[in-house]
This record gives sequence, structure tokens and C-alpha cells, in this order.
Amino acid sequence: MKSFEKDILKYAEKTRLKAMERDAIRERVLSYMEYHPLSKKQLPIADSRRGEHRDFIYIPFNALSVRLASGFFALLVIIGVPFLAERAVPGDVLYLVKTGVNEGIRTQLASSPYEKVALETKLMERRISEARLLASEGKLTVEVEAQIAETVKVHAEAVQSGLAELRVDDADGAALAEIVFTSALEVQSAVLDQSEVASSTSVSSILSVVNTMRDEVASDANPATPSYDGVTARIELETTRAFELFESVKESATPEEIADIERRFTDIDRSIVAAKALREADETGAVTEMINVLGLIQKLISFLTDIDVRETVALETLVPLIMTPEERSDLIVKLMNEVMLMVPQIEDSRTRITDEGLAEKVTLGLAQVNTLMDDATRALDESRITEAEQKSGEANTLALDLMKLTLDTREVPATPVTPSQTSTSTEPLALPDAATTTPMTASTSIQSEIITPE
Amino acid sequence: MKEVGVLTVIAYNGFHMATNNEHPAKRAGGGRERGGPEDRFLKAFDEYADALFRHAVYRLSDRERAVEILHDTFTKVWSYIRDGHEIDSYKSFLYKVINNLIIDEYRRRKETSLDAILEQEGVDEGTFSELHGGGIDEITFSLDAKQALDMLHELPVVYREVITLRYVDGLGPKEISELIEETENVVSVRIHRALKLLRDRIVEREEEAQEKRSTQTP
Repeated sequence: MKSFEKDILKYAEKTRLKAMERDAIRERVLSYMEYHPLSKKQLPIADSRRGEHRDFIYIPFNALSVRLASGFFALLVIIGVPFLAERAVPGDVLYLVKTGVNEGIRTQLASSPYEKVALETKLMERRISEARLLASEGKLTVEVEAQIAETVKVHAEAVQSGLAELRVDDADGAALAEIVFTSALEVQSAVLDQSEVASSTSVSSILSVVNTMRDEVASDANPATPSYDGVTARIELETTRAFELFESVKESATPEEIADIERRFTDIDRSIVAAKALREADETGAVTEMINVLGLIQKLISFLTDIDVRETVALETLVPLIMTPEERSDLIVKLMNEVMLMVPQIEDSRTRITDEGLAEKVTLGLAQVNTLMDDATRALDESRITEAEQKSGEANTLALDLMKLTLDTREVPATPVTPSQTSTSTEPLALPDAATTTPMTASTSIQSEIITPE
Repeated sequence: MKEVGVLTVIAYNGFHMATNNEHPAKRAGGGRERGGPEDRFLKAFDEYADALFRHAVYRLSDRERAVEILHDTFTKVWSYIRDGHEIDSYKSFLYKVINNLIIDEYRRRKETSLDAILEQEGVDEGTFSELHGGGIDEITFSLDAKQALDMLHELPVVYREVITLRYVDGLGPKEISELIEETENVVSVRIHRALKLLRDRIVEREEEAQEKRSTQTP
């Protein structure tokens, strides 16, 4: 009996959580605890002198305190120099302390391959921040830029080789680290792009290195895919972090900025709910959605943490709004209303066209607009929003082209309907591709766009 | 040199060190009070997570669901603490919660009640007299632990439950009886029957293998 008990326990104990699983669950539980904290009365009072308000510990001036002060001074030198070095940029005396000592220690402390990849990503971002800072102060010489570009490349390559190593032992960790790396590259690319425009100093070689890396990662034919649970756990963790960061920047942000960021949190929450609902039917699709969400959260975190990023790039560039189904429907209706205003004017102009060929093209174009409008209405009624967006966008573009084409035949050539003006009111919302075609460009292609029936 | 100036002031006036409490949002993490409910809860996580996970794996035969159920167990227990309840023994409370979640999982899978599963699987509660004549020691003496563990998933759920609690989790019949809210007699009978069933299945399997080997040999 005893032997059976011992043996069965021995075999059973081989079943245990993997370190990563254990850490992920612990982090998720911690996030849950942070979202659902205990009430104040449930928390114990740490100080034994309950009720006594003591904000300071006072150490009087005597021989002991002199010794303490001396020790403190030595400590300050040991801690203070590396601390001051953290703000150094290339060319500063303390820059070597920053890259050689501080970052060297961090590299040594990163024990797991995942931590190493995360650190190399962070260091790459730091080098780019330094370059931007120098560029904004007009101190970025060609030599320094080349040097930083080279260092950025070294860090990015270290990330990639770290990822390759990580894929062997921890596919989930590799996939998650890759999402963080890709998001960092996208943020840095957007910021450098803006810096290039805004600053008189060029950062093009660094931008080129970042873009090359970004394209390489994007063109990976076999990207690592995390498990649903892995990516969900990471999202919970990062969302908590993003909320905390948001709380910390709230005081300095304007009401518009706060509303803008809150909207992104709502969008992210909605996307998570949608991905979870999708899981039953399509696990792969749900994971893809979750990966996108994680990317957005990472970018939002970059926006919230890096003041330089906030000042250089608009939030919309990094984390575009995700329209709600209602907003998408409203936009479709708006586009369709514009078309309905344009159609009578096009019909009126057609009666005055003397060129038979042109009149026939306009007639065919109008028929096509009507078909597209019917399709859009049907799709909207049946809640096929994406299709309705496509059809209404195409109808709107085609109607705009026809307006342009028949403009010369109208008695009053001044802007009769202002579809472009009404369209601009929807600018913050992402329009379907077809609807963003400018009338001028579209009119050049009208001849080929109108399909002539056999 | 601003730093030197600061030090001079410190040396002259004495050293004042701020002792403000940390931000509440951080409390649940590294900044929690020692010995507080959060600390005790996280200590329980560190102590029992592996054992509870193992329990769930053997009960459900599904590693991924076991991970999820482990997570749900701890969030449920935390909610219970938040509601103002106190937990005297984390071990028995955690086992109780995970056991309930596993039963919910069975119900979800089978879309039927546990009683119906019992009925389907033909399990009656038996009598204590069954324990006489061929006791547990006698059965386990001839049982191979690894084989028994591998075949655990073939047992009806109520038998799998008691065997997991008894041998994988190492709980005594009294603890098991409190946990599953049955008498000690019922627990002992179930363990006895479960072991017998395991032994019979192992023997059956071996006989089948033997037969297969003999038919293959020319």
C-alpha cells in the first residue's frame, strides 16, 4: 500500500505547471487583484503605531548621523553617477557609463531569453530616442547619426537572433516578444518619419535601418503565432499597465486628449470581446485578432510612456480609431445620402450633353451607381457592414467622377453639391479605400471604370 | 554641485526620510502588506498552484482547461475574500472551489446533471461491508502505480475524483469526505471500488495484449 501510494505520487508529481504557465497565471491573478482591490477596511494597518500620522523619520545630528551621512554620500556616488548617466546622450561624458555600465548590468540581469529580447528591444528604442533628442537640438552630426544607426542595427539584430533562439524552447514567448518588437519598430518608424519632416537635421539613415527591419519582420512567411491563452494573459497584463500609465498622465492631459485615449481603451475592450466571441467558431481568427489588439496596446503604451512620441506623432497615427458598427452604418448612410443628392444633378446635366458617346457613358455610369446603391442598401439591411461600406464607397466615388465629367455641361458650374465638404466631416473616421479616392484622380480613370455591357 | 549642497543641508539638519505609503494600485503586487490578506492569498498561490493544477489535469484529462480552471479558482477565491469573508484553511478551501469548478465543467461537457452521470455510469454508493474480503492493501499490492495513473481517465468521474484526491493529492478519507460532502464510509467504498475497477481494467488490458501477441506469433 505504502509503496503504491509513494509510486503513484512520484509519477503524478511529474505533472506540473511550466514556469511560463505559472508566471502567466500569477500575473493574470495579480491583474485581477489590481482591478478588484480590497476595500480600505480590509487592509491591515502596517504601522504598529496606529492612528499616529508620521510622515518622516528624524535622525538627529550626532556622530552616528555623520557616519551615516558619509556612508550615504558614498552610496550617492555609487548610485548617483549611474543615475545621472541615464540622461546622457552620445557625446556626453557619462554616455559610456550609461551604455557600458548601466545597460551592461541590465543585460547581465536579464536571465531568460525572453527578457533578453525585451531588453534589446528597449535598448534599440533608447538609441533612437537619443538620436531624436540630438536632432531636435540640432546636434546630430552625420558621424553620430551613422554611429547610432549602426548601434540600432546591432540591437535589432540581437533581437532577431534572440527570437530565433527563443522559438526553439518557448514558441509562445517568441511570438509575444515578436509582437512587442514589431510594435516598437512601427512606433519608431512613425516618430522618425515625423522628426525627419519637422527637424532640419536628417535622421534618414536611422529611419532606413528601422524601416528595413520592420519590413523584414512583416515579410516573414512563417510568423510565430502565440497560443490563445498566452496572448490573452499578456493582453490582461499590458492593459493593466496601460491603465496605470493613463492614470499617471491624466493630470497633465487636456480633456480632449483624455477623451481620445479613453476612446482607444473602449475600442480595445470591444475588440477583445469580439475576439473572445470568435474563439468558439474560429480559434486562429481569434488569435489573430488578439495579436492585433496586443499590438495596439503596445503602441498605446509607447504613446503614454514616451513624452517625445506624444509630442511628435498623433495618437490617430499610432492607434487609429476602430469604428463601432453604429458609426460605420452612419458613415455608409452619409455616403449614400451624398450620392442621392448628386444623382438628380448628373441626370439633369446628361440631358444637355451633345456628345453622344459621352452621354452614353454617363447613362451607363448612372446605371452602375444605382446598382451599387441597391447593393449597399441590401447589404446594410442584412448587417453586412463591410460589403455595404465597399458598395457605398464605390457608388460615391463613381457619382463624384460623373459630377466632374458633366461639370462643363451645367449652367452654373459653381460647386452645386459639396460632397467633398461633407466627406471631410467624417475625416477622423477611417473611410474604406474606394471612398478616399479624390475626385480629380477618379475622373481620369472614369473612362475605363465604366463597364460597358456586351 | 547641487548634490554636495543637499548633503551639507542633510549633515546640518539631520536626515528626514519620507515614509509615505505606496500607490494603492501597486499594493496587490510587490507593495502588498506582509501578513495581510493579499500576502496570504499570494502565498497560497505559490504553495498550492502546482498541486491544484495536477488535480485538475487528472480530473479533466485536458491540460489547457486545467490551466484555465486553476486561474478561475484563484480569481473566485479572491472575489470571496473581497466580499469580506475570511479563509481559515486555504488548502481545503482551494480544493473545494476547484472541485466545484471541475463538476461545473463535467456538467458543461455532458450537458446533464452529475446524478445523471452517476446513473449512466452505474455507480451506486455501496456498503461498508464491501471493504471486507479483499481490502485496499491487498488490491494496491498487485497494482502498478504508473499503469493505474495512466488509466485514471477511463474511470467514471466519481471514482476518478476520489482516487485523485486520495493518491494524487494525498488527502485522507476524512478530508475527502468533508470536501465532497459524503460520509467517510462512502469515500472508503468508492476508493475500494475504484481500485478494483482499475485492477480489473489493467488485467483486461494485459490479457488483450497477450492475446494479440499470441495471434501475431506464427
